[in-house]
Amino acid sequence: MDGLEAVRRIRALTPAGEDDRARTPIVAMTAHAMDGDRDRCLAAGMDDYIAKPVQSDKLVEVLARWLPETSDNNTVIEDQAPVSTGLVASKASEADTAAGGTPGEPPALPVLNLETLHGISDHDDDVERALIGEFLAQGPKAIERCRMMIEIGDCTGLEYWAHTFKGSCRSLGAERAADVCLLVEQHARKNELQEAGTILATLTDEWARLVEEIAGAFQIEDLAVESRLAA
Amino acid sequence: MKILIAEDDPVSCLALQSLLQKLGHELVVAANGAQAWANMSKSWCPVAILDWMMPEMDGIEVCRRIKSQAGSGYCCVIMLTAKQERQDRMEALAAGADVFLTKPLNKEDLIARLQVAERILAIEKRPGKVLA
Repeated sequence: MDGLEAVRRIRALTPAGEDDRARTPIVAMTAHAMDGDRDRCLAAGMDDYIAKPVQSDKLVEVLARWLPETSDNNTVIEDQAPVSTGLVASKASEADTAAGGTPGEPPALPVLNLETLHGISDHDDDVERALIGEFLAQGPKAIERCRMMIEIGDCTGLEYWAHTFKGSCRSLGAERAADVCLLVEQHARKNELQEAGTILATLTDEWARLVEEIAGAFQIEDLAVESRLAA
Repeated sequence: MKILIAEDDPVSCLALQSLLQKLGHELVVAANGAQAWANMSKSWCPVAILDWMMPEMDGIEVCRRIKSQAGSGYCCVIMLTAKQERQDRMEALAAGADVFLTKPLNKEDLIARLQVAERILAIEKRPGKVLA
């Protein structure tokens, strides 16, 4: 489903004028910088428009225009924290309907950047499948180890496992999961176990998404049960 | 070239191994820093690709030890890590690393660095020229 269709459906849920307060602002994010594309986005029910590559000052400008002024929003912008308070649909997962609004929600990155995987494997399908197989085996173990470290209150161990799994994710182009790992790692370093636990729940969701994405990309119908277990 | 790999993350390790094998290099693989240093002490490798955060001994310590073995000849130490801060880069270079690369590994970057290492090793082999 493309962005235009998604907007049409979202708008169909809340017809304009019916309840403006409940109407979620939608910003088009596209590499097509032509006027005609912009008009099509606005005609489909979007409110604003931002060109790719997204520049931070432009993004801040657009958000300031549409988000209600609260101290929370200002904090996010000033800190430039890697969190999003809105719902961002990335091309890698158009149907991703995870609700935003919680701190630590992964930023708008691809769930799986196949270019990274193709690059590291030199477009060798056998190598890619071997890497993916190893990754699917390691993921649930890594998440489980993080969970155990939180349970026994071992911040050093948590930092280590989050960092190591971040390395796995980065290596294969699982960019969103890698960024969530980074957040866990950062909280662990600051001895913030409770916050780390909250983010780890996000990582579990992200892993489930990643497994779906991998299954789709590699046409694996029967992913090992343990790969899904962490979800 | 004979290359030492020290990487505790199996996914990154497999990626690195398949890439280097395709390039025709001979590999010595270690899953932690202590193992890496033990391998290096037994049989010197002119190139070492080290992860930073590893159990037993971290990559920075392995790097320091390699660089303190001046008598064994030059070893091009490549730190390959998911650490990405500028201060991490500075710390690695201060510990003696020749190259600092971040994950995900970029094939072209690595190949270019290995070519630099080959050039330095060739210079070192010339009679009368001693590096390190």
